[in-house]
Amino acid sequence: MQIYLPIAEMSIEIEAIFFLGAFVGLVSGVFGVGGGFLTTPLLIFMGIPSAVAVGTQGSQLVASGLSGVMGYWKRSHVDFLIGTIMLLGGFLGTVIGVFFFQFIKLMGQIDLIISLLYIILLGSIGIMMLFESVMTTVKKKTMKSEFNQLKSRGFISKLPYKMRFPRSKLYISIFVPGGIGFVSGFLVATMGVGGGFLLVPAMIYILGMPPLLVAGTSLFQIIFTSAFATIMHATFSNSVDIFLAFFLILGGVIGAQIGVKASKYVTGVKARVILALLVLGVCTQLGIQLFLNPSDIFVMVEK
Amino acid sequence: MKHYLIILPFIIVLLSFGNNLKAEEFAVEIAQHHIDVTVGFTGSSIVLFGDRRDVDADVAIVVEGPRKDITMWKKAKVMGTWINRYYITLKNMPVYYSYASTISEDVKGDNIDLIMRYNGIGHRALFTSVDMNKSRSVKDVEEFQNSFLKKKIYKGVYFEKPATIKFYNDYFFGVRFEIPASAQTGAYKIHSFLIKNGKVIEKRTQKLRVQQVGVNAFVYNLAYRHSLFYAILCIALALFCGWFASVVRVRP
Repeated sequence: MQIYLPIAEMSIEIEAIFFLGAFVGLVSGVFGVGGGFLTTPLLIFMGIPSAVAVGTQGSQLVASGLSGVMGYWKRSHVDFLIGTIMLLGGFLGTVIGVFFFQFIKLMGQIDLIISLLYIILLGSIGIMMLFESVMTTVKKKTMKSEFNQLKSRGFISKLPYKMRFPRSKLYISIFVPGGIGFVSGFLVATMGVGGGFLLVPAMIYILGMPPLLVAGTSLFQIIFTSAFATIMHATFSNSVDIFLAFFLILGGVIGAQIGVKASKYVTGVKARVILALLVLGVCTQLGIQLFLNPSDIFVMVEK
Repeated sequence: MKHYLIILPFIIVLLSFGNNLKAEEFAVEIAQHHIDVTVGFTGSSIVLFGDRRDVDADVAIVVEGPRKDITMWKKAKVMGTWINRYYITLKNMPVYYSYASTISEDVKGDNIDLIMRYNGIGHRALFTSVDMNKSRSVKDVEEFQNSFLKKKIYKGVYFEKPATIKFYNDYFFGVRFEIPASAQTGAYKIHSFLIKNGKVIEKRTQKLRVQQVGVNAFVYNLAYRHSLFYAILCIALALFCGWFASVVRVRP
């Protein structure tokens, strides 16, 4: 069914959006990641303007964040205090991200910057995940022990404004969770990804949070950060399409259900290898567009 | 075909008026003065009827959408990466452009070409009096312009060939201009020209609005006029969906 998107101002097969949402939902259900890193590039491949793709993605993150956090909340696996500090950093990151987004849009380099950011992010994460999975199978040893030493010897312990976080049993400078939140906010605003795959390891290895609380806390702060990003994008660049968001979310909800069931069959290292390859696949596709001779060397930008 | 039937009574009136009022050399009218973009909008068309008294005069019609600045970027390889390197900005280009004329290719002289360019008839005329910014090293402006036309034609908002003017008799004619779903909303203008002996003897301009209606218009207006409220609505929708998803969630 063709539907006219009021903000993207284009007509699109709504089934395609629905299936895209469902596919990403499936991936997130199976692997327990947000999957935003897939949605934004795929929307752009489908011809949705990159500004609308990134702007709309924020509200999708609100939905998946809330549905995710409910389970952790019931089991009280959320550190609200550290989450709040993170989301304050997240707000700042979002503001700077939205202005950065507007700036590169004016410079006419938005496609290049978005692609480059994605290539760097996905490339490093994909390789790291692949490396870690291989290491665990070969050496039967996780990387965690090596990373854990970082916080004790690093400059992190010397940072000022320390605060006590009783739930996580931490005494740490507020700049650490604030800084992690800042990165997350910047990612939401510029790339439309929650950055869970970056936040979770950062919270475990840099903050030193108990792994049990990490997932719930990162989801908790993502809800507020991406809600704030939605407000910023909607007011500054009018790039949030509610129709697009609705069908993405609808697809995502259904896809996630199937994904959760399917996750029984794909577990542990195998899952991480598949996810790493998926991440690297999207990364390669974006890289090809950037480094190979383009089919058309002209680009049209309407103001 | 539907449009032609709707307009039938109107044709008769127009024809009879045309006969009575000798002074009216040239008359044109559009079937609808607005095109409504609904949720299921997949494109529409502008139907125009006209009447010319002088059988020797040529007719030309131009439909143009709202005007916007367009930047054409040319990529170049910088450190192994293809980036947008050179640009020209074409000021005030119509987002939609279509035309039709009875001027045949073989009689086009310098004079006719000049008239067409001056009055904005034909693709080349679009670049005649355009304001332009460009990077200093751009020499071949024409390749940017050609690529602009190619991209617009590919988008379906410009047309490779002009529309055909269909004559029902020597005087009375009709034209149909396609409006694709990708056409942007806004105020469209329809310019009609009566050209004889290398001169424009009559010119008419009509307006037509391509506008979102119903739910679409509501969403669009909300997003642009009350963006904060719209943003909160989006978040509320997302929260509801997220909550709903967690309620119906299957337990692994």
